[in-house]
Amino acid sequence: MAKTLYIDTSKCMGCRGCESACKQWNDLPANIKGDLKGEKFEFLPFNGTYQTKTAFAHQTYTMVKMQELAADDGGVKWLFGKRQCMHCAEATCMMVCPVDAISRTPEGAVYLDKEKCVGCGYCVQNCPFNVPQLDYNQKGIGIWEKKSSKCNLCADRVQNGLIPACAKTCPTGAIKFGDREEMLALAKERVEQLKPKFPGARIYGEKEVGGTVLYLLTEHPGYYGLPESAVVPWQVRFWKYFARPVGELAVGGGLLVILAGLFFNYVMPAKETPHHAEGVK
Amino acid sequence: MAQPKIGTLRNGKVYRFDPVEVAAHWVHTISFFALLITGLVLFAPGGAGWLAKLLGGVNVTRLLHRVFAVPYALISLPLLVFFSPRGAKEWFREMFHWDKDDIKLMMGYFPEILGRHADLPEAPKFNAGEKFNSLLTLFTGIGLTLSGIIMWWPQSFPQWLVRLAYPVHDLAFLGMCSMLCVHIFLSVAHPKMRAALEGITTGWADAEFCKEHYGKWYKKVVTKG
Ligand code: HEM
Repeated sequence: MAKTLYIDTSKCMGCRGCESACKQWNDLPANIKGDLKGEKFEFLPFNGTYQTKTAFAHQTYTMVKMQELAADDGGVKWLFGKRQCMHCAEATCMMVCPVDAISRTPEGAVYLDKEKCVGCGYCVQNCPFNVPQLDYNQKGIGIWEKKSSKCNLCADRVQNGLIPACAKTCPTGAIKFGDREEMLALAKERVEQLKPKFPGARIYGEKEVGGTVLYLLTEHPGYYGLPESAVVPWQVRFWKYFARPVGELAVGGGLLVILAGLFFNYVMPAKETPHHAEGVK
Repeated sequence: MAQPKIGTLRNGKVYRFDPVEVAAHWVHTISFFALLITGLVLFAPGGAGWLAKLLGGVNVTRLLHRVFAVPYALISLPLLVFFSPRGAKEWFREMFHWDKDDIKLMMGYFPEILGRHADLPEAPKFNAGEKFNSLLTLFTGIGLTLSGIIMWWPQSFPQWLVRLAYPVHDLAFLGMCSMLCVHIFLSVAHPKMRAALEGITTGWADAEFCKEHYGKWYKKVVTKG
């Protein structure tokens, strides 16, 4: 049964309880000392914003992004957008993974199995939302064991009838988890409610990536750091549907030439010696 | 001891390549094979899992691939250009110079691969197949090196370029492998072309073979010495 994580940004007050709940359930270290790769700083940075996490990292599957906007009445508007893996319907990471470490759960989540991951980084390079990040463990000089990591939509919880940790902990009801139709209906209703006060209100994620994560945004997606249209990068399609198959076909052709050459020279050689080969040993 | 002049005929053999040309060929061959084997693990970590184990795991293979990339990119071409300018000049001129005879030879060569006779025009120092192989080696080499550098340090390049580097690296790698099948078959297994292997290994190739397969070159440069 297809499930959906629905995030109503108009109800988010930026408490970041979801960030903590995510770390707690998934057993991810906090980055207080700032020495974890992916998010390096000497002290907890003060950068004039309520946003504490600057980027996804192997120990950060979710974060609340914050943006200040000038309001028409001269004041400021605060936009909060809780971000995590979008669990795209056509998932680029799944397309590029060379070891099938990324698969789809029956509930619709894009699941990354760290046991199978070999750390090639293709999902990291190609994700249109830049979500997966590598976890580095040094094994020797120049040798790194790498593992990709990202939100699995608490697949272990969901399979046991629970809802994801972020949705469970959200105190304002900004994060909900349920059947897709139900969540979509909620979002549509909410857009109508908000339209008079927030003309920019819209649903994001239904068409863009297929609806496993739905957003209700009050402004243009760009303010939340979301791409206006998120599609599989053309380089990935070129790679997967042209470069690899055509190249493999060419190598297959080369191997056939070897087989044919061996056969026609040694098993079934020409009857008469070619006249121009006389004298050649 | 003074090196013989290219084209010198002695004891039924012709001096075809100087030691620098021979060295450049084999440095390239060895580093290419090392990159091919380690690259195969990165190309198909699942299917080539046994190979990864042999090399010490995917993480070690990633390092090895980078190590072998250095001689591949930095040794063979400069070696040829700086230490055998004559050899480099000949090679470049041949691979970029195509006339009607070359095209005819290229089109009609397939029966020869199968050990059948085809009426083919005479070839210069490198025949059309070797010219094509040279072009592919040069251009896939450039493509593999540039895309490889981008893949090595992805943080230093724009994301669209990093994403493009992978299909370019793969296409060049697979294209070169395809050519390599034919190249290796002709040089080690083909009853007649095998003689060329001696030329690129010792520098001296059988005179009859040269007359037969590089007729234009033979007439122009070979002198009794
Ligand atoms: C200067 C030359 C080269 C450089 C700098 C280079 C560098 C790289 C790098 C950095 C990677 C990514 C490895 C990773 O996942 O960490 C890679 C992958 C790879 N390389 Fe190279 N390489 C070079 C030449 C070659 C050659 C000559 C071949 C083949 C004959 C080759 C075959 C491959 C293959 C098959 C992959 C895997 C790509 C994929 O999975 O799609 N490379 N190379």
